[in-house]
Amino acid sequence: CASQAPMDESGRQAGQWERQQAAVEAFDTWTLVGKAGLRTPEENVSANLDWKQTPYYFRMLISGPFGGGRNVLEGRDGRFSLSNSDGRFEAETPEALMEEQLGWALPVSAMPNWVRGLPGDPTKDQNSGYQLETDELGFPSHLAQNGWKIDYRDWEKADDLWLPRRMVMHYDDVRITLVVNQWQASEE
Amino acid sequence: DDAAERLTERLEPLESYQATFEQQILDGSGDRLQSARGEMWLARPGMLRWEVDAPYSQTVVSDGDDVYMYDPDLEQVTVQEMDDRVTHTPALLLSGSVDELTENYEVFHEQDGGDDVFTLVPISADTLFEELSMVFEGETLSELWMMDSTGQRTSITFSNITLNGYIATDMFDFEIPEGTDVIREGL
Repeated sequence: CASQAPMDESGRQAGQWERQQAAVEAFDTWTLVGKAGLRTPEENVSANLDWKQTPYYFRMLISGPFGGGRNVLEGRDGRFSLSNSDGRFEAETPEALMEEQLGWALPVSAMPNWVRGLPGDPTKDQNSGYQLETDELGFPSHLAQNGWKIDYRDWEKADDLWLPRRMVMHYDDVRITLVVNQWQASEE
Repeated sequence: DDAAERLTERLEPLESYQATFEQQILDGSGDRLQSARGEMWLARPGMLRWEVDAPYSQTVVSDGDDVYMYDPDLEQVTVQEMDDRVTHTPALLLSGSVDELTENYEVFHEQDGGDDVFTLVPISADTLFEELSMVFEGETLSELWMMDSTGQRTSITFSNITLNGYIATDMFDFEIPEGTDVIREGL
């Protein structure tokens, strides 16, 4: 019989990423449940992420255990707001909002692509040249863009797409671990 | 005041409480922001185990002195002293001292069908919620509701409830797994 393409224990097969890449790019309306851990020399934060993403809108609930310390970050048509128990705040970018309100920030603007294993959208930001390395199965393993270095450590199958399950993002001395517990396609 | 006394009558006999829970966070327009399921153990004074099983996993354990928040995905455990900020979380309210409860909150009571609903409004403004409701079906606490200043509501419904059952004390000791990053905050 035809020799099986090399596969790793989680079931990923060589060449599968190329075959599904267009579908991953088209997979732009989803919700994600996961965790973010941020480590800097002065700061150590971990939070639950409940993230709803469409091409025109995103909403990210960042919360602690018991849903405590909740912050809801939203973005639509280039306007970004963050609401928490202190009130509702707006700023030019989601990163500035998080920095102001939480004292730390996720690279939110590029994350909808990075979290799917795709480089940030070149049309959106200028200096968005990137380098992408792939693993022996052809899946993204390292992506460098906008000063960030992203390592894709683990993958999971959601519906019929292989999507990242664990990634570590470095920028200078900031280290962010992102774990996706659940990927779900959503309707609107 | 009558409502506070009736709530005290309900809470004081409670030595331990064990249940499975379903937690939901809804935004002001009722859209579901987050949901989680798991199991909770409570015992006086101030001992708690809160294990989220799905859709993610997370464990919060308090031995009454320190609170351990363990995240297996991040391979990280945060250890904090049991302070007001943490104990304001709904689960810990139950296992704190009852007079402290009624000292810090105005208590209201209403009947809702067969249920007794006690609503607590914090006297000091800086708590995590503007209103906390405890729903009792008969003698048993079956639900907690919290409303925060942005109109977001957290509901925790309990089932498979055991009141005053035996809980091994090592349930409230947290064994830090091998290779876990330990983060001590304010200790």
